[in-house]
Amino acid sequence: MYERIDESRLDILREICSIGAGHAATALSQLTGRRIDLEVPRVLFTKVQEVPRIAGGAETVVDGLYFRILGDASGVILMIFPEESGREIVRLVLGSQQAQPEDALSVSAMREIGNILTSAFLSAIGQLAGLSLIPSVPGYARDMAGSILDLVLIELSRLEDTALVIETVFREAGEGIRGHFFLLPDPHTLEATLKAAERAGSPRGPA
Amino acid sequence: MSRIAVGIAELRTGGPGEVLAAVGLGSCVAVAIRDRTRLRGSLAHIMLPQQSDGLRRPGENMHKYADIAVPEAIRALEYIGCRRADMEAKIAGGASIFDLGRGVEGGDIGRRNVEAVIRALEEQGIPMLGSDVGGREGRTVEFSIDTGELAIKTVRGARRTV
Repeated sequence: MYERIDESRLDILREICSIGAGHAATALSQLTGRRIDLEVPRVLFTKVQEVPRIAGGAETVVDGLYFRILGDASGVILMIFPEESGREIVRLVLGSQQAQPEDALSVSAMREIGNILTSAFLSAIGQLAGLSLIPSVPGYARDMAGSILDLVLIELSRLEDTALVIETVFREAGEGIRGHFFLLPDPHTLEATLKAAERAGSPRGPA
Repeated sequence: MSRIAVGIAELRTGGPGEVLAAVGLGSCVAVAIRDRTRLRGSLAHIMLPQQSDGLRRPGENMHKYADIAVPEAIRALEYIGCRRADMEAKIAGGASIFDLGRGVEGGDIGRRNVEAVIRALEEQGIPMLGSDVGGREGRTVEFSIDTGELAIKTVRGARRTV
């Protein structure tokens, strides 16, 4: 499964995720009117026990958005914003200070923001790989990072103790807004996605 | 008093003066078992009801499965001198954090974890003295070996003890 991914295919994976995340970061900049930069995606093979630590510790309070990837591939996308960042994004998008954390308006704004970012990410990847990828309706929760991540870990650990996690960090200059974007492809559909990307001639892949 | 962290898919034991803690349980379930006479106890942080295909893979951590972690916890306690007849259990966790809706894969995993843990405890003949399960919120739990209390906290400030 994951072990068979060699370095050149990891590059392709990083490249397509970078392009997808770039589209998502642009969407977030447009929504908030702030300049949001993007770190180069990290591809991590990690013990499932370690994943909460990557997200800043199991007890850190975060806004989490959960999507299943539907269409020609399957997997999970999880977006995590530290609670102050989540609040700031909602405030910028709604253009007022009125909304309280977790009221109906804030929650629906969070879901919509998640939808826009995930759609931007998936449609960019889909175009590169020649696949049709659609996000499910988002699940939203504000809770401890550990509680939010365990559903994802559960899905991954059905087959393996090691998770392939592709992580990108969004960051506003001056440490205002930041967020983590996790892509967790299902092992058997990762292969299909990589093949499709290679066939479609991804920027650094074999022709 | 020393605090021992029990990570996801781990099983730990402790003795007098010790507290076993599991942080950020969502749909996972913490299973606390204690020998009330000898003041030894264990905490398991399980993720799944049972292994789907029944195969053991080399190096796989089996403590993530309820049907394996519960008997293993009892064995670990017996190994350090506890007696099954004096053991009692408490459980917490099994929430549905995301409102994924009916029929969505993974949406009811918390409930299935709780059912599997209760079944495993029944099979092993360990009485369950208390539980704090379900709901929409994540939990952090601390199990005191001295008192047998399982203390639960949530991010919205709820504090409960079972």
